[in-house]
Formats: sequence, structure tokens, C-alpha cells
Amino acid sequence: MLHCLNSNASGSEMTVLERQRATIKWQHNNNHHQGYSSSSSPSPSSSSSISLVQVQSSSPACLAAGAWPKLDNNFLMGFTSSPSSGFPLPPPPPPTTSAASFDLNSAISRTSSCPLPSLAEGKETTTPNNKRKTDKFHNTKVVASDNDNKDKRVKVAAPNDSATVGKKGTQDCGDNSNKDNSKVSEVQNQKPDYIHVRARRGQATDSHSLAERVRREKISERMKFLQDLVPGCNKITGKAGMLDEIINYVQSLQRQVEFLSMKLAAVNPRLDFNMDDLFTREVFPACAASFPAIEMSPNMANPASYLHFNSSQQIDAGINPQDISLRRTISAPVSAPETFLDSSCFTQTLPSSTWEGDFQNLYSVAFDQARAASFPSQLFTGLLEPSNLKMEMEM
Amino acid sequence: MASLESIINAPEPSTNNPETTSPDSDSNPNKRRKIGHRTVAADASLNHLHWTSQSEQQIYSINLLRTLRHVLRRNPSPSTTASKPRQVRYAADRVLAAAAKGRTRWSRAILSSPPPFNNRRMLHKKAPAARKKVTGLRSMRNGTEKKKLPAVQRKARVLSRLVPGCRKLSFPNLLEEATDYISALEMQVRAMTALAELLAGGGSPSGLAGESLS
Repeated sequence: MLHCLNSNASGSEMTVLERQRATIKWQHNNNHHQGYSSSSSPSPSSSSSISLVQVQSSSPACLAAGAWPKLDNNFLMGFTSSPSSGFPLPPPPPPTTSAASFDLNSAISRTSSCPLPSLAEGKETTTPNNKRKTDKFHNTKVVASDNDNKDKRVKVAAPNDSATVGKKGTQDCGDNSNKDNSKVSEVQNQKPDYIHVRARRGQATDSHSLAERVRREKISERMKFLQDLVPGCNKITGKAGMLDEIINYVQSLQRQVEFLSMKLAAVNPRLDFNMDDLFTREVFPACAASFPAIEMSPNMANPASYLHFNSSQQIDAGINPQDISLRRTISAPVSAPETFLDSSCFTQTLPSSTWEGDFQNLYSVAFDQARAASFPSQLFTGLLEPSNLKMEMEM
Repeated sequence: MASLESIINAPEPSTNNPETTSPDSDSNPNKRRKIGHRTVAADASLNHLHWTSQSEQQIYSINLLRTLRHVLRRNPSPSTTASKPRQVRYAADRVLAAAAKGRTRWSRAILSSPPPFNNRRMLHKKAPAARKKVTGLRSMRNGTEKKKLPAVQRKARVLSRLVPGCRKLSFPNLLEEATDYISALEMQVRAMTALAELLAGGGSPSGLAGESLS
């Protein structure tokens, strides 16, 4: 790196150290805008670390040195959570403090710091405005604190955040600083999902009351949903009364489920019997039905096609085939148009044993012959029709 | 059965992930809320739609029928025993929790709860614990008057006991879980009443055949 610098020297009498200092100051200047000074803050004040500092902050700096001043405008209070708002740059390289990486960076520095001197010379006039301390560490730390005023994304130097943000008079910084500090690490990892909460006019701007207001509003919003859900809650105001109603309603629902399960348990033994009997009864009268019903007109059922093997229906592209199969099972025994049922059943009369077969077989059949477009919407009536369920039982 | 599961699981109701609405939050400069806050509103309405859809109810009915058949096969004894309704209830709850697809806490709690054990031992185990707690409270508060928690908190505790898996939940999350649970319970009741009506009402096959042919 030294060779590089020397080779690019324009004949000035600056020593290596001075040049290094100049480059560092130039970098600090850049760090103002970058806000990535945290990467350099933990670096020790050794010469090797200087190169490291230069490298780490130089690479992004070189990329868009001209774009940095624009960013300052974006670092105002209305800083939103979306990272795309103020950062045209890619995220900074992770600050490396391990010794192993120093070597790597110093190796890189040979190549990356070459353009630095040319820029440094241009910016040297601005560097006198910056702090002229020779202690790099302190320099970067002070700069970091300045940057943290504007940049809320700084991963390290979290204590600086609370100290400097507190100076601001606006509320959203104030009430978000606590949240930021706790969430700052995860903010970096994923898309930051905090949003600024602004106090309304005439309300307390204390961070505590703001947070509490958010919490209260959350609760009241959920209570509103519950109010819509639970019948008879419209007249009740207040959390206690509503909670009473909610508890009563949940208990009544659970009791209903208990009662119904008892009823179902009593009914159950007849399940198999029902199915076989139903099937035979439904099918045989259907056999006597007219054959013209066989032909699959577009309006014909779907329930028919469910059972009809030799149909050549195509799956409609528009509808999800899985939906179709599902509808099929439900609509299979459509009772209203019983002619459909006739045609549907008779082809299946012989292999009645397949009715008790796997779901898998049945559904694969249904898939092959799904007929989407012709599903009448009436099949989806609110309550399951009796025959629907009867046929379902054969699944 | 694998294909059935895929079929049942695939036709997801058209509920998009509410988190995708997050970029909209930047638009209103005056009052912005946490993204989590907004998704609560979206979540609650979506959950409600999810449980009130017809397809969901039918899926549930199908699954319930399947499991009922299993229960029947496993337990062919006459229905005079008290364990059968409990097993039916357990199966119905599990199918309901499965229909929730694990997105809610109560569904996960139901699915991870053990099947009902028909021994008396379990019932005895609960009682001493409860008794101990009550006596402890009384001995502590003998001198002073009985200090109660604020009414809201007491009720929140009761509600947390009603909704499975929500004992140590914060109040707003508890409300959210309760919302979803209530919707799910309503759907369960609807489906089971229809089922019971059909199974009980359709006992005479002739009646049914006549119905289908008419």
C-alpha cells in the first residue's frame, strides 16, 4: 500500500504518515455520509488498522463518492422503515475485527487504496474542517456519534443512539429509540418492520404514553373484531362486560360441541350400515333410468363425471384441479338433478367394492376426469344436502 | 391418503400473507403504525373469512367423517360408554385444529395434546393441585381482606383457560387467538350440526332414496 501511495505521489513532499493521515481524514469525511464509521470505531490505533480502516470504508466510498451528500437529506426525522428509501448503496461490508481478516484486508488494500490518493488530494481542502486529532479512534468515535444522529441503522454504537437521539425534539425519534435499540440487531438482519408513531395534537409526547397508546389501540382494535364476532356485544361497552360476553359465548360453543359429539357418537354405529344400504338403494333404481342420460352434456354433472370413467373431459385450465376434485366429492351425489345421479351411478354399480376403497384411487380418478367449467354453483349451497353427505361417507 | 391430504391442504382460501401489505405503511406520514399492528386487522378479518367459507366447512366435514369412521372402527362398543363422546370430541377438535394449518396457537396446542385417557387417575391428579392453590391463597389473605385482581385481568385469565394453549399469553395476543378460536368453533358447530342431522335424520335409507329420486 505504501508503494502504491508513493507511486501515485505527485511529487509532493508529504511523508508516508502524512499521506496516510490525509487519506484517513478523507475517509472520515466520507464516513460522515456513510454512517459506517462504526465499522472503523473498534479499530486499534495501529498502522495496520489504519489500512484496514481505509479499506473498509473506502470500498463503498469509492463506489459512490458523489452520491453521498444527497443522503444527508434523507437522514431526517421522517426516516421510514423501508431500507430502500435512503440507501442507494448496497449494505456495507460487515465490520471485521478479527486478526485474520486484517491480513486479508491489508492485502486488499494494495489494490483498493490506489484510487484513494487522487481523491484525497481533491478533498484535502475539506479535511481541515474536520477534527485534526491524531488519535484515530477518538476521531472515528466522535464522527460516529455525529453520524448516529442521522442514521438509525447503525448496528454498533447503540449507546450513542440513545444519547444523541434524545437531543432531538421530535417524538418519533424519542419513542422509537427504545424500540430501535432493542430491535437494531434484528433490523439489520431482516427488513425492518417498525414504524414511527407520532403523537397527535394535544396529547402527551412521553415515550411511555406513546407506547401505551399503541398498546391500547391494539387492544381496542381486537376487541372491536371480537365485538363483531360475538352476538349481542354491540350494546356492551367496556372491556369487562365484553370479556364476560366473550367468555360466555366460548363456553356455550364448547358446550354445543360437546353435545354434538355425544350425538354423533350415538349415531355412529349406523354409519357403515347407512352407506351400504344407501348405495345399493340409490344405484339400482338408477340403473333403470334412461340411457340418454349417459351423454355428458356440458351441463351434466360433474358428479356424473366423477364416477364416469369413459368420459373424455378435460381439466379446465382456469380452475384449480384440486378444487375440482374437492367439489366433486361434495357434489357427487347431487340430489337435485337426479338424472345426473342416474347416469353417474350405473356405470359404477358393478365395482361397488371400489366405493369402500382408498381415497387415493377415487381422487386420482376424479383428477383425471375433472370437469371444471360445468360445475354449477348451486352445488355449493350453505348446508350440505343429505345425499351429498351420504355419498361422502363412501369415501 | 396422502393424496387426500394434498388435496385438502392445497385449496387454500384466498388469504394472502398480510405481511406483504407492509410497504403501504409509509404512505401516511401522520399516523403510522407498526406493521404488526396492521396485520392484526388484516389477520382478524382474514381469519374470519377463512372460517366462514363454505369450502372450509366442507373440507372439515369430510375430514371429520373420515376420522369418525376410524373412531368407530377402533371402538365398536355400544355407545353407552362415556368415553365415546369424549373420543369423538377429541377427534373433532383435532380435525378442527388441523384445518387451522398450525397458524394459530390454540390449534398447535390442541394438536399436541394427548388423547383422552379413560382412567380415573387423571381426574384425581388435577383436584389436589387445585385444592392446594386455594388453601394457600386463603392462608395468605386471612388477616387482610381478600384483594382481587382487576376485573379485566381476572376475566382475561378465565378466557385464557378456555382457549387451549393460551395460558401465558399477553392480553392483545390472547384476544387475537380468541377471535380465531371463536370463528373456528362456530364453523365446527355448523359442520357438526349438519352432520348429526344427516346421520340421525337420514337413518331410514328408503327415505333418502326417495329423496334422491324425487
